[in-house]
Amino acid sequence: MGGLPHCTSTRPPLGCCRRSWGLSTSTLATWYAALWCLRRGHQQTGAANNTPRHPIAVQIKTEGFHGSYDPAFDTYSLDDDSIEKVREVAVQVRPTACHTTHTPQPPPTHHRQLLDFLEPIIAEGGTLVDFHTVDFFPERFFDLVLVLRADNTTLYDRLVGRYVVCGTAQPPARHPLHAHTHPPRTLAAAATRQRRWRRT
Amino acid sequence: MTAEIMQVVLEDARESYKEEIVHEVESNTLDDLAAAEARLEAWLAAWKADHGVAEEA
Repeated sequence: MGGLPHCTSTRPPLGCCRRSWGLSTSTLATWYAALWCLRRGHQQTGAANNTPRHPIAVQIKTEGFHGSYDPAFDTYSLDDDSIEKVREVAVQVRPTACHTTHTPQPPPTHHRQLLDFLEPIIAEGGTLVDFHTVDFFPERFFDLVLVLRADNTTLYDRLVGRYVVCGTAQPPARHPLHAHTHPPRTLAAAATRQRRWRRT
Repeated sequence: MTAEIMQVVLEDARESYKEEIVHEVESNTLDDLAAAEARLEAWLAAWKADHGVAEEA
């Protein structure tokens, strides 16, 4: 398909770039959901060419913000324990009842570490944050939130291309959509769990 | 499947942030990407004007 350039990076799908927009009075941030490959496509078009990169993906690895590494996906998980806890909660409590029956909990350790890391960067403004879900970022972080949507066929071809280009040993037909399907569902439950804490 | 993948994220975003700052952007082709970029640039210019921030040289 005439899609976007495929990613050649093997970094996990989290990144942050800062633009010299000179915004000091407030945070200007854009959050791109899913389709992190588009970030690389974005770089190849005009507006983002001069964007200094802030490699949060590297920081996640070097600072140990991740809970585990999945060699099949060549991806770091931010916090596996939290997902397991969320599954337990999801079974026990219906979503509509979460707000009234579940005690607000602080975000998992790795989420907190990442947010602590991002806090001063975001505070300076002119920052673009790129991640596949939006749940655990504080509301005050962003002035603009963009959710990118692609047709399933386009998405699938793009993901297959990514795995082929990256040389991942795992055959792409087994799982490329899996990774982009399940994390939002589990993290969505995490959002319900963490939302009250975040807004305090 | 598309709804499975994206609608959850979109709804989450709408639940998590003020409705007026959350925007869905089509992203299938390079033309979509260029349009999204133009939209972002326009929004940025408007934001700067609203907040009294000078344009870069």
